[in-house]
Order: sequence, then structure tokens, then C-alpha cells
Amino acid sequence: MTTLLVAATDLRRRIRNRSALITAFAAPLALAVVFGVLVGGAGSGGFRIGIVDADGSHMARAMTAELTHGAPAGGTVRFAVLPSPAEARRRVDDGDVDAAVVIPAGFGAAARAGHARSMLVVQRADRLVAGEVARAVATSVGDEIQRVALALRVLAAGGTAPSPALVQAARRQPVPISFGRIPLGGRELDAAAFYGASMSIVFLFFTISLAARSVLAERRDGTLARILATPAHPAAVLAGKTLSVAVLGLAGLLTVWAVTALAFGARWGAPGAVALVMAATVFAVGGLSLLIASLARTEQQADAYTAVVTFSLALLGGNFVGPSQMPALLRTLSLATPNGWSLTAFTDLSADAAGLGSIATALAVLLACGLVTGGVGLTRVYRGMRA
Amino acid sequence: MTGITAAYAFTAVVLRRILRDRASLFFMLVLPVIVIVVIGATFGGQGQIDIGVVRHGSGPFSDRVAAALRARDGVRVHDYATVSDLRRAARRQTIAAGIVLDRGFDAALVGGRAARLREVVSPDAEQALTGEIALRGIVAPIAGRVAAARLAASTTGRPFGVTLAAADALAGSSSGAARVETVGHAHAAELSRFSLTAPQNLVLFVFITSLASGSLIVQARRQGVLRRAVATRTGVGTILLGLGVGWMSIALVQSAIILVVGAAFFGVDWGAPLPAAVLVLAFAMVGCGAGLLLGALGRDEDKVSAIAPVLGLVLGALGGCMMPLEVFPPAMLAVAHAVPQYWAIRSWQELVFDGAGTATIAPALAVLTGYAAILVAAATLLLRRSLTG
Repeated sequence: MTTLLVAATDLRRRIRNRSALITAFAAPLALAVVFGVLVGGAGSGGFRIGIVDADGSHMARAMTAELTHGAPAGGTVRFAVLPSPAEARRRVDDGDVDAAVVIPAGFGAAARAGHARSMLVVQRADRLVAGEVARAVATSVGDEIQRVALALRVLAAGGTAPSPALVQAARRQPVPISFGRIPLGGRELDAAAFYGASMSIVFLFFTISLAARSVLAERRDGTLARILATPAHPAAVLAGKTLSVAVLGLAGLLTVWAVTALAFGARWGAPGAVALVMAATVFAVGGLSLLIASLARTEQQADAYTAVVTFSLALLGGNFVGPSQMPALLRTLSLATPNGWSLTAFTDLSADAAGLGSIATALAVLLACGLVTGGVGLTRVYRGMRA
Repeated sequence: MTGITAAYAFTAVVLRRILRDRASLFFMLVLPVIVIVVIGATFGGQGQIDIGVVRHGSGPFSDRVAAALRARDGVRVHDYATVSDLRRAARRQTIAAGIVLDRGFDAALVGGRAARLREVVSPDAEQALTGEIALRGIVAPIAGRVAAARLAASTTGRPFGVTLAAADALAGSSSGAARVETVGHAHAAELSRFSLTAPQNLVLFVFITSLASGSLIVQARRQGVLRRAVATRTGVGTILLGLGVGWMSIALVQSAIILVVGAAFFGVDWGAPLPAAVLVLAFAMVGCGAGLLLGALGRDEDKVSAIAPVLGLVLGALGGCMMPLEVFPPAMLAVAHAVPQYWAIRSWQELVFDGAGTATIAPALAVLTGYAAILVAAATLLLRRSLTG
């Protein structure tokens, strides 16, 4: 009863003070929305790619014509024929086109002679995505020219002289290996859900550290002695304070889930499992935050330790980089943090990739982390209160 | 002279407090370096593309594709037992793309039929396009040899095996691979992805650090320190000058550390020294102005401490500190123009990628100076009203 009373009072005070609301609700929500909008709309502008036929060979002319006339109107990639490599460099530099593909002079002849020669992509260092698109185009044009040239060389080596008819035959010959896209078999990881969870976890550390911080503040103000002079057991007071921030933290996670789902259609995955992972995350982060803050002797120290550990774990746990950007080493290191386990579970759920085993493992690790760190943390804070 | 002494006293207080506060020192000096290292490891240099492979069959062509994948620089191959595992990895974005080498793949190619490589792509993954390019680039030369051998076999009547051997012998190392040339700065060709992220981190962290001054000012106001200082005939302008110079020095030291670490350990060429220095100064002024205004507006240091990093992160994200401006949707790009970070990032891009001079970034510098002037003026006005009213 005392625990609930303390929790309710503490919660009321925090809601009135509003700074906890910023940490628990406003901050993760603001960042999740910004990331959701940015990631959701990324690359939606389309690309304008310049193409230069400096080669002038029959194949190069045909390929250029196919690209410029064959591109679908309103498609993501539009092509513009440019007169020379120098003009392509100038137009890319000026930003008139996003990147350019150059079929270099002598490319066709080199291909016919069997010499290695590269296509050229002109890009700006700050337009890397456009550069990738241009590279895809250049590779496919180069491969096509090489394919036809190789066919003619093989024929010539067998004693058949190349003729216009054979060139046509080589060009029209179907490519023997084609790609067929297969469906993903479920939903892909939702960026808004990932960053929503990710940012919520970061700020959860700050929200939950408020419990131990509040004990330090009560001690500083002399109110702790007065509370402990009442029949209320110190453990009940501490449990109440911890419960209030845990409720606040969980409410923050649930709010980010609801808002991203309603505003951006973010798909977090099976609701029951998502709620379980959220609760386990609050438990694990709660334990760790208590332990960190219990090491401090002043509020400033508590803030400092929490901030340092929060950002270090967020960096290691992969909170600031999406799973597709994570280097192999970081992927391994992330599993040494509760952030990493929680994000793995959220990623699995959002990507329709969760098995009972994977979620159960993540939940077990998070609960164990919360139990161990929280146990030590609570004992330390409790001893501090008694002292 | 008295004014200068008083301003200096405030500057000294700011610097002393920061040097004593380990958390602030961590945020200012250590965290940016850690972020640069992590982001550098993530994006810097030649990034690895993760490609998944499922092998259901075996044969000479499946072997060729699998071997070519493993031999390709920058490709990290992940083997999966089933298509379902491959799809799962793509959905989780563990791999950018993947292929299935089916049982009929070799038989189709040997038998003169079209072979199909089943491909799975994670469309939203950062490197999806690169993954697709890599896959096509690896498969195209193999397909080219088969096509050449088939044409030769059908034209000359020789067996496919013989013409394929001839195609293998003749193909050599030729491929349609593209060479990439980067325009702009004289050294742009040597720039890595890191040159994009280092200025982003610089702008992000300097602003967040500068905003931290807000809670200090609120605390000083709440404790009556500033009112007492005003009562000693120290002008509000002098107080702000002292505090501003203190936080400016911190912003400049932080900028210098990021510039040096970026240049020394990650080879970032920050562009011509003079415009770079002017840009650092202009943005530090904006950050300080924003911190002073936050301090003048806030009433509770706890709230200001809670708001400051959030504000810094949100404005940073909107201004292009977390995602390249290149991929911003048009509406978000329009919004970005209202954020000072956007002008700083754009200027850094012009300095780093184009080797621009002061004249080129002058309009952006004017915008940043304008922001700084407005923020400082608003802070002075509000503080004067609250301290003398």
C-alpha cells in the first residue's frame, strides 16, 4: 500500500514538474517523428542522370538511344544526353544533373579487341546515392557492350567473320541468366518503428535514473530523513519511487508506439510480443539505471554517470545506426548491451522475423540483466537511505 | 575596463564550471570522438555489402557464381540453408540482397535454356541498390560468356562445351565495371564517405554543447546571481558577453578537437583554412546565441537541461546532421532551410567537396551571422527585462 502511495505521489510530482515528461514522452517522440519523416521519404525526389556517348560505336549509340527513349516517363531515373565528358563534369559539379555516365572513347573497340576498359561514372562526393544509381546504369551498359563484343570475338576465333547480321543476332540474343525478384515473405523492418524503439530506449535511461536521483535530492533537501521517520519502510519508499518512473518509462514507450503507428503507419509487430519486449526493456534499463545512479553521491554525479553510460551503450547497442548500416564488429558488440538485445527483439518483431526462441532469448537476457543490475542497484540505494 | 573585467569574471566562472564537470567534459571532448570513430567504422572507407546466398544445387555455373561472389572485394557473403532464412535476413536488413542458386540453374544453362536466379532485395536497406549492382556485376560476365558460347555454337555447329571454353579463354578480365570519378574539390576523388559524416557530427555536437549553457544561466538567474551582478552596475550586455565568450571558447575548443581528429585519424580535408575558421566561428556564435536565449526563456534548469539535448538532436536531424541532405524529401528540404544547421552543413559540403572559398559560402555565413544576431538580441532583451524589470 505504501509503495503504491509513494508511486502515485511521485508520479503526480513528476507530471507536474514536466521535465520528466519531456524525457519520457516528448524527446523520443520528437526524434522518432523526425527520423520517421526523413527515413520514410528518403530518396523520393528521383534522379536525373546525364549520359555521354564519347565512344560513338554502333553499340554505344544504340544503348544511349535505348536509355534515353526507353526510360519510363515519370520514373525515378530520367536521362539527359550530354555532348562531352567535360560537359558532364561541369553539369554534375553545377548540380544540373545528379550524376553522369560516360561511355569512354574507344570503349566499343577495346571490347571488340578483348581489352579491359571501364565505363566512367561522374559524381559529386556529396551525392553518393545518385552516384550509385549512375553506377548501376554504367555497369549494365558496359556489360551489354562487353557481352556482344565477346560473342563476336568467339565467333571470329572459330573462323566466322563478324557481319552486321551477326551483330544484330548477338544483340537480340536473350541474356541467358535473368533475375527474378522473389517476395520478402513478410514485412520489411519498419524504419519508423525501429527508430521509435531506438530513441525510446535511449531516453528510458534518463527517465528511470530519476528514481535514484530523487532519493539523492530528498537527502539533500532533508526530506528523506523525515520520510524515514514515518512508519513507512525504506524499501517500500524506494519501490514506490522506482515503480513511478518505470510506469512513466513504459508509458513513454507505449505512446511512441501508438503515435508512430497512427501517424506513420509504423508496423511494430505482434502487439502482445511488442508489449512484452517493452516491459522487459523497461525492467532491464531500469535495473541498469538504478545501478548507475546508485554509484553517485550527488544529483550532478547521477546525471553525469547516467549520461555517459547511456550514450556509450546507445553507441555500442546500435541505437544510432540502423541494422543495415551496422558493421560486423558492432553487431557482435551490441549483444553485450541491453540496448542491443532489445533492438534485436524489436527488429525481429517488426520484420516478421521473430521466432518464439529468439524473442524468448531476448526476454530472458533482458530480465536477467534487470534482475542482476537492479538487485545490486536497489541494495546500494537502500543502504544509502538507511545510512 | 571594469566592464571587461566583469565580463572576464563571468567567462572564468563558465570555464571553471565546465572543467570541474566530468559529464560536460565527456560530452564535449570524448563523445564526439567516439561518435566519429563509430560512424567512421560504419560508413568510412570501402563499406562492405552483405549478400546472402542459398545453394540448392551444385554444378559448374552455380560454382562460378558462388566463387565470383566470394572473390569480389567489398562483398561479405552470408550462407543460408533455406529461402525462408534468406528472406528473414533481408527483412531484418542483415543483408542488402541475396540470391538462390536453384537445382535447375546449371541444367538450364547447360541445356541451352534461360536460367533464372531468384533474388531477394531488402528495398529499404541503406545498401540495397549497391547490393543489386554488385549482384548484377558479378553475374553479368558469366552470363556474357554463356551467351557468346551459345551464339558461337548455334552459328558454327560446334559443341557448347567447346565454345564455352573459347569464350572463357577470350573473355579474360574484361567486364563492364565502372570507374568512378568525383568532381569538385581537387582531392575529391580521394574523399571517403567519412567526409560527409564528420562535418555533420561537428555541427550536431557544437550546437548541443552550446545549448547546455541555457541551464547554467537559468540556475544563475534562479539563485539571484545575475540580479546581484546587475545591482553592482554590471550591464546585462556585459554579463551576456562574459557568458557568451565562455561558451564560445568551449564551442571553439570542441570544434578544434573534432577538426583535428577528423583530419589526423580519418583523413578529412576540411577545405581552405580561412573560410573553415570563419564558418566554425559563425556557427559557434549561433550555438551560443541559442544557448543564451534558452537560458533567458527558461525558468527551471531541470526542464532546460531536459529540453536542450532534444532540441539539439531534433534541429540537427532537420538540418541534415543525421542523414545526408541529398536524400531529404522536397518538403523536408524546404523545412531544413529554416534551421541554422542546414546552412552550416551546406557550407561544409562546399568547403570539403568543392574546395570553395569564403566568397562561395558568404551567403550562408550571412544567414548564420543573422541567426546569431537575432538570437543574441532576443536573449539580451529578455534577460534585461527579467533582471531589471
